Amino acid sequence: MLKAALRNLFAHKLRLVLTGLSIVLAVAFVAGTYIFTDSLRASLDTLIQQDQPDVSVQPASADFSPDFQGAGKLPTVPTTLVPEIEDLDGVTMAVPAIVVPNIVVLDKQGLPLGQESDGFGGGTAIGSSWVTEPALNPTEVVEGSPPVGADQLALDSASAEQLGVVPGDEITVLLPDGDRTDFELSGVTETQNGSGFAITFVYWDFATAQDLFLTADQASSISVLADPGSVQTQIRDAISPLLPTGVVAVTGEEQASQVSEQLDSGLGFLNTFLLVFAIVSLFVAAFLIYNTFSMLVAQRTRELALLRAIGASRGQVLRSILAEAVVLALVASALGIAAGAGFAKGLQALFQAAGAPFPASSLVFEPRTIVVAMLVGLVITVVSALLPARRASVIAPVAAMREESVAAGSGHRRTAIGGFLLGGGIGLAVMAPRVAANDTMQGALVAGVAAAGVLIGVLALSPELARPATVALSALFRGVNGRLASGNTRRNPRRTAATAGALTIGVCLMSAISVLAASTQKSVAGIVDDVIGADFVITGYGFQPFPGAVGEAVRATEGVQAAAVVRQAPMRAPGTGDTLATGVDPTVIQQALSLTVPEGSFDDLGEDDVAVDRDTADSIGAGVGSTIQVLSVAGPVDLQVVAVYEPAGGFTGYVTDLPTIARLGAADQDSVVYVVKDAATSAEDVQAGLERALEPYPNVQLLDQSAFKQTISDQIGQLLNFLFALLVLAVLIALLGIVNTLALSVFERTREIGLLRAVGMSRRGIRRTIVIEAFIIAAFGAVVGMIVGVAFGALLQRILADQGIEQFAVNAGQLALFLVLAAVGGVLAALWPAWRASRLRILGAIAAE
Amino acid sequence: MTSQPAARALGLSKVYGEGEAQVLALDNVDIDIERGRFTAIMGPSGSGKSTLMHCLAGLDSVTSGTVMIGDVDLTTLKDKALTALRRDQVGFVFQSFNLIPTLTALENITLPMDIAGTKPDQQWLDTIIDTVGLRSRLSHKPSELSGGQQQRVACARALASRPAIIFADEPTGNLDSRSGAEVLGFLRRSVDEFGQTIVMVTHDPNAASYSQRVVFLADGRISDEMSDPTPERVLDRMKRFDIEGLSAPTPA
Repeated sequence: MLKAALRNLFAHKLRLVLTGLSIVLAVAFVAGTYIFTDSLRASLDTLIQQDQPDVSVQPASADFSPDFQGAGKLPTVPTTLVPEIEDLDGVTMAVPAIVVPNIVVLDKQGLPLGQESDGFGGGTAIGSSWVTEPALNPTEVVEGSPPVGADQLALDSASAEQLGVVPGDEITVLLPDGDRTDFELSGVTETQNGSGFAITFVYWDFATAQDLFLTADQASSISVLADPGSVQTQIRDAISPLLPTGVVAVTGEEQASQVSEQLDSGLGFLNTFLLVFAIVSLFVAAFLIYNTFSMLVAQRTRELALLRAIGASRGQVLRSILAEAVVLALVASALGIAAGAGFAKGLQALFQAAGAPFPASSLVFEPRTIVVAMLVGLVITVVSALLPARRASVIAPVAAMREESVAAGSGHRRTAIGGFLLGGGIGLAVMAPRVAANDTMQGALVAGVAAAGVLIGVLALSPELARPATVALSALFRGVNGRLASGNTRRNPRRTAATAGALTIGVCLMSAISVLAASTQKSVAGIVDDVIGADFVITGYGFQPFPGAVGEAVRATEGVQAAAVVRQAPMRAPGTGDTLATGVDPTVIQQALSLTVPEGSFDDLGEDDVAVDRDTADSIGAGVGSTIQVLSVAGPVDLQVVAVYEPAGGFTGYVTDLPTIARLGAADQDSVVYVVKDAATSAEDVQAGLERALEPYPNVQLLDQSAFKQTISDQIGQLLNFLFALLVLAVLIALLGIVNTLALSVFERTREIGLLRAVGMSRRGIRRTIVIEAFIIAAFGAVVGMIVGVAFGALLQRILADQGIEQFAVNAGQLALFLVLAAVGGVLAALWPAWRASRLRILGAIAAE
Repeated sequence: MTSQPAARALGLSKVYGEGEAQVLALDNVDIDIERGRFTAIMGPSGSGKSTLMHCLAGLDSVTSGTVMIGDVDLTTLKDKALTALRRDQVGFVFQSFNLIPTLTALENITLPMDIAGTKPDQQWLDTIIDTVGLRSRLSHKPSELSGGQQQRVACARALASRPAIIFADEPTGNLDSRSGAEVLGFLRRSVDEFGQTIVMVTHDPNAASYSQRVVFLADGRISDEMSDPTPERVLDRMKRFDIEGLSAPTPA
């Protein structure tokens, strides 16, 4: 029987390829996700390992989440420790080092290098002191020489290439305090082991870096090189007693594992996020595989009956089909893993295009990847094959051999279950916003269950929907081709529904995301309108902080009535964890923003006072008068709550006045300046004046209200495109399903097509009929998906209303585009089966038994 | 009866396969199909009778020779012209699977005209429908019709566009004798009453007796001919094939 199964498998190469392809695509998504995150992990691990000195002496605050360390004053350690540490036994040398984020390298046009790459921290560079000891420096000079003296710097090779500079050329750098300084490029550097992040690195010699960014006797950290054979922990323990408060010693291993942990949680999230999309693809692929096997079994009913008639048992028939499925699954999964490597490369490109500074790296295949991918391919294929196989094995041999059509089992049970799920889902969906009003997470959970119920219910009911829907759609087509095509879609409603169902899932998710994005855009615009009273908003590119001098320049501009700066410092606080505290001038900010303050007043905000948004205050049970202890870069600080305010868009969390934020560790840098013009001057004049004032600061952008809204809208759009790119694969698999269904249908209808040709239908007519059939299936799937998807989007908006997505909006143009693309995709999917059908030899078709 | 035949084959040969597996299905066949007459083509299995019909109807390519329908040489036509010719000039009735399962009986009858995008002649359509006795079943799908009814729908379809010639390939092969008689009677009436030209391939002497002329085929050649056949005479002639085996002598 196994031989019969294998022979059968290879006898139908076409079916094999089509079914296999769907497994390959689904497995590729899963394998690709793992390969991508494993590769990222591996390359980051290499960087972490090579970057660690034996022991590092650093400020205690360095364990703040790295997301927030860019803001605030540079934490330092005293360099007076260096000779003391070098005197210890087992220490070869101790080298002070300086690292400064937020350097801007200007290109020949005077614009920040890499600014066009937008997204995450685009346009800024990291500056450091050049470590002359190779054992402590993972970077080497590949061209020119290391920087020496106050007028030289070195640059990483990728950035030098982008700038088009060679050693000896002049480079202009914008320092964090707003100074513009020219340096001579001494050399070009590369990280050992190649791959670095897509980030610009600038190096000065230690004395120059200290002079530029810190004061004498200060460094960012001290790297300690131990004698060979010494134990890291012993050196650390020997150093620790020497250190003042606020400074700690950590071993390279500790440092590495700490960074590693932070990476793990980040990558874990990324992995889960990608796997969700992989599961969507798998679900769609399962549809396709199930559908294909159902059709194969239906076509082979007579063949299987013959096997039964000559004495094969039910078990043998069943096992024969399963054997086919297993062989197919194994081969396709193996190919899927190979394709996954290509998919991982694609993901790398996608993330880089989205502006994520991930290093491009070689691909890593963990055994886990292969095991999971194989299992996924195998289980899905076997389960999808099992149901039709069971059906095939219960067919009485005589019944099957007598007539070609075997009545499919009645769908009453399926319809009942579908109706139940749909009804239950809608019921939960109605409840969900009410639950969410109390607890967003619970509401989201209820909504998720409701969405799953509705989607599965609709898919179960869709054979019933298929009949009226295809009748309605076929009204678009007149003539015999349309009549034949629509008749074909109704011939087996279950098959039509299953084929369309795969597309339904993809379009549903895309529509839901589209609605959510449109609602978010509209809500954010609404918040901007409601909250921001300022006429202009100044932000750094990539939302990087910019020099405090910008605020002063703005204030000095004619026609500016008020400039409200927003300054930030990292801290660890109850209710928010690692976060950024915001410092404002309490009087001026109230001119720029319309804040609702139910408790207390911003006017009371003084030294060591804090205003807290209502959500955070509620979550920690704080109110006006409570005292909150927070951990700042400078150590623990007690703050007294004087106001509780309604969160307004991005303006949330802990808010202090400017002197307090400086005490909490903020540098003389701002993240936003809100500008209010006086009534006497026209907006154009003020804008022109501001543009002139901001000329020395190419790393900031001046936005009026509408441009500000557009910027936020663009960012949401960018995220949207990224999600769509991930969903495209699910849609592609669904379209492949249409190819598959049609190709097999054409095969089933060989005689019918022959008859049509005999009585005078042209090849073109045959093609047209099949293309229309595909169009009807695709449009049916897409329309159902869109209706359900828009409903999901509306539900999500309701759930998240409390989180700021207050308004419902639909991007009708985008939704229409989805429908058009789905229909076009359906038509494209039909081209090949249609071509095949039109090339069938008439006589062969009529003579087919 | 005009002098020009409805269809004609001259020196028609058809070879299947290549090399050692080569089979000569038709061997230099000359035949005229007279206009307005009911011609039956008979012969044992493998005699080439179906191949002859397929070649005459433009369903199969020929190896050599010419095939004419009216004054058009089919062997010079490309697929597109051939398709149009089949649609407009030729009607077909096959042994089984004559109807499109998704279309109603009426839609099946008007299918060739729907494909051509022409309006059926309503009066003629009514005449045919009444002749085949299907008026009450027009909105039924093929699966709701009996085998005999299905073949009558197929006959009605073949006649509906008033083709120059109808080819019927074992039209009663799958029917019980009563249904078969109904279909054959109807074909004969369409010749007698409407002047339709029909060519029927069959191996059933009883079916052949409904025709006006029987052409016997053996080994890819025309071996004999008979006018105004009766079942007995046809059966007699067929028996001689059995006795002579497949190597029946060909008349000069």
